[in-house]
Amino acid sequence: MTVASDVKQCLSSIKNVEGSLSSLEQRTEDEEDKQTIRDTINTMEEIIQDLKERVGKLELEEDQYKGF
Amino acid sequence: MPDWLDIVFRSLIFLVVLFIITKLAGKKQLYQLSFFEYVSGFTIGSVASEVIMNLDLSIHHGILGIFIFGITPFLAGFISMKSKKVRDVVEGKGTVFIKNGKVMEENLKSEKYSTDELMELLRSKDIFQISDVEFAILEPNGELNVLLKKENQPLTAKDLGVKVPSYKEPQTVIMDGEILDEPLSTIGQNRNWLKTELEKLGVTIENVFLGQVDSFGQLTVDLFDDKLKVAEPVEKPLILATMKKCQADLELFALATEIDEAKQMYSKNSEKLEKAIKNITPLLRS
Repeated sequence: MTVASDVKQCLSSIKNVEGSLSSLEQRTEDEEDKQTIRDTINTMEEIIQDLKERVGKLELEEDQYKGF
Repeated sequence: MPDWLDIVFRSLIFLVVLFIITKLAGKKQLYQLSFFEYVSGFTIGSVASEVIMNLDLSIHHGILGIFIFGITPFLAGFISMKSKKVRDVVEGKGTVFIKNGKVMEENLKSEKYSTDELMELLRSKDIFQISDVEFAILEPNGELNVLLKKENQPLTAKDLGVKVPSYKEPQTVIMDGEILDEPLSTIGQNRNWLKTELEKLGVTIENVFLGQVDSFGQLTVDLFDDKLKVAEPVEKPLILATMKKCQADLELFALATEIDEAKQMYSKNSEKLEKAIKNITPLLRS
């Protein structure tokens, strides 16, 4: 395994979390709880952005493992 | 008219009259009745039985008596709803028995309560030590209500400063194997969604005795077949576990990389994720 594939795995896990949280947010009735979940989703998005950038750089270095 | 037929006739009439009177009294439970209502209730009962069995008495006299005893407490209740002064007279006022942790002996005496009776009332509230009590009041209906000293009160989330998710009432969506459409639409879902959720749990609708949806849209069921094991809801614990795993991963990347810029990025995001986990844990744990 390479560093790039590890980071990609982490990235997809976080994407998965973001998706699950969005569906949870849709179903939650309480406004305050909804807001908490929304905040968490935003944090997830920020992390996803950073990791994507990093994955891009890593792919330049190890271009035999291109994907995404 | 033979006597027995007369008794049947009178019984039926008074059943109807008593039914009307009890409807007037409303939803108050017996122990909530004021002393006044309590006594008039007794009187109504005995007037009715007297008139039914004693054939010498006339029916309309009985009904008149019952209505007066039925309507007066009703009127008194109506007036006392409007005026606090009337209320204090009709319904009575509470008497303070313990104040600032000290027993008020004069008040005990004026209500004719002995120390033993006070102790008995406290024990019925699971209090065996008077020093645990901050305040106690004898309500007009004879019940003792007790405020414990703060250190003896049950611990709440507020005391601990813990954030807890707000919880709305769950909706019952399946009863005896039948889908209830109204509660389902209250939570903004439809039959298809319910079928998918049941499939996730691996049960058929016919087998569900009771199904409820909590305020996070999570379905829990009780089955007719109690030997069958229902899958525990895993969605929320799974999200939390994945978040924790990712946070650990990010920390690991931060340690592994030799590029300063990447190290900073990883540790910054790891901290962000840690904070997010802390925020959302109360929601996902429940």
